[in-house]
Amino acid sequence: MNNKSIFKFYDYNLIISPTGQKASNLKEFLNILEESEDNVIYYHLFQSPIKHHLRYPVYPNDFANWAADSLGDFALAEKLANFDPYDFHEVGSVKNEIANIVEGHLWDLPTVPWARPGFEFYFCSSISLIFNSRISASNLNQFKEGILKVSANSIYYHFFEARRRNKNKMSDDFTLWLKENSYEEKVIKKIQDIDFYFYSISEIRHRLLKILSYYEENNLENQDLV
Amino acid sequence: MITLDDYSDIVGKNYIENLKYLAKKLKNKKVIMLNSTKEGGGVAEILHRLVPLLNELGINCKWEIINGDDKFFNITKKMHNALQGQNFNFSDEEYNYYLKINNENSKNLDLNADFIVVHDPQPLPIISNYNNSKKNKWIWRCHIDLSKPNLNLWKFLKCHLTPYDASIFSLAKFSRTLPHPQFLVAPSIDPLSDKNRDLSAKEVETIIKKLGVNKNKPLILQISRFDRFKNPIGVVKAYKLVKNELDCQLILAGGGATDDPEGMKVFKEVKREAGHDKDIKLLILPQNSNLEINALQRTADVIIQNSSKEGFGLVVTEGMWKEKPVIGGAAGGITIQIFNDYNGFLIHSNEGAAYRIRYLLNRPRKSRDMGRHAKEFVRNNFLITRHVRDYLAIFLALENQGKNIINLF
Repeated sequence: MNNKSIFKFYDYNLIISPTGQKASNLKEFLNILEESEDNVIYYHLFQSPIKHHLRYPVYPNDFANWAADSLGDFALAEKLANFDPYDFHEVGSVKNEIANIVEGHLWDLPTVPWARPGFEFYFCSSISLIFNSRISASNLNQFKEGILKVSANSIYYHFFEARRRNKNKMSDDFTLWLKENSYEEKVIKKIQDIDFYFYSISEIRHRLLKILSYYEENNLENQDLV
Repeated sequence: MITLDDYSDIVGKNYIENLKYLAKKLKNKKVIMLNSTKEGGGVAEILHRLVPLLNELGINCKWEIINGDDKFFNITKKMHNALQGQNFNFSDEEYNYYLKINNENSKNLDLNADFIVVHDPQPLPIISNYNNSKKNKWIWRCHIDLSKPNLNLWKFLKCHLTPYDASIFSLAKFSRTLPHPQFLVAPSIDPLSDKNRDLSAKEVETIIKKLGVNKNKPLILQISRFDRFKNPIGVVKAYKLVKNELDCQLILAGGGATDDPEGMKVFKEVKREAGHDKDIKLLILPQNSNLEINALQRTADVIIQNSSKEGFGLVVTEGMWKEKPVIGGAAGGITIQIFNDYNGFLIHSNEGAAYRIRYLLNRPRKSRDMGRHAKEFVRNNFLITRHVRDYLAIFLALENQGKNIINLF
């Protein structure tokens, strides 16, 4: 067995760092958004699943949820929800696109929507701490066990965050490892077909285990990879 | 004595192993926690658990307190209220006395450590009495609601906050524009404390019998001080709306009313609103009634926290940990704990409270499901073990300042 075939699960710790800026209405939101660093956009758009890892929220990111819950602007929430940040390689382009959506929406509104006091949007960035979970796998059974045992944040790191790290929406760490170790295309495709944007981390874990179990029962019996 | 491994059954062995791994990266680092009391209040309660756990992890963590007289603590109490939005003016004499007591404390306190975590405003200006070398990282940990502080006081305190290396707040809405990094750390509960540990059916029965709870009627419960912001009168009104439709009982239990004139006033108003209804019980619990609160929460069919203003609302967390869906006012930290129709309900009126109480009492199965979700949500987000991890992570972040991604492997 060579080193390449060992999958190391990493754990991921998020430290949330508020910027101290808040928006009380959509105009303020747009102004602050346009001046925000990439890391702020990344936290509110990409790292949202970590906060909602047990249950998929009504909308997939912080901006859309704020538009609905605090501004009562459901049309904007829908536009922001339908926007998939993973379609872009650079966070800067994501920011521009979001700013365009908000600006276009504001343009068509007769008045600027406001949030009630206490329900303003509070901008945050984050620091990611990545460390070895000391859980690894060199065969399918261990791989499955690892997926079952690791934290939700670890699943996020390998299945969501990996796509940005790998600069490819289809490249999560799990399917890369399966590919590298010549697992059947069918199972890889099944995993790639999961539209991760519509599931909570806990649902993703469940689906991965289901796919891998099915594959294991029908193809391989805990076969070591060579 | 409770050890870190005792939490394995609750959060998983892997979680505890990860804490040990992170702590190894900070081995032999010296941490000082500094506040103004070792007894009473939420901060002391958290530090009583946090400090031993950090030490068990190999961090050299000491807990120091500053001393002061009544005059000092009256000023800091007033500051506490002013930071939470009350309108007070401070004289130069008061400011000077506050600084003088901090200065005197600095003569007796050796605050030389890798990380000095200063809790709340009482010891905040002590930093100016120390040589702030780059090696020592000073962190201000603010536990209070700073969303609308008194402007003059804030300007005064901000000058003393500037030399700090970082600040920590409980919610994003409490953060301010500051010249150093800010971090969020939500409060937490200790699942092994008397207030939250599992109780046997016999223990629960003995306690609730003593408290006079009727076992044959659904119980609606609010645990809180008799404080207007907790809206206990609104709870009685909501109960009356429910009572028109189904038989139930209400318990409002809280402490601190006897030594708090405003609390006593609110208590009397609630009593008046309750009238002669024998199914309403108003309990003034003595301090340290942890087992009583635990048993009441475990017995309740519906837990309510009808706050109109709230810092974080750890009582909501405690109720959720007992597998109960909590009906909470959409205020402060309650909004980051309750997700409608998943682990509880957020309400905006007494009518909303009544409606949701009826909903849950009529749908016990749904209520049980939501209660299970509530407990899992707390397990994942608001236990003391997460609090320990947050501190470790922040210390590591400060050791790697300027990096957004820190690889520790």
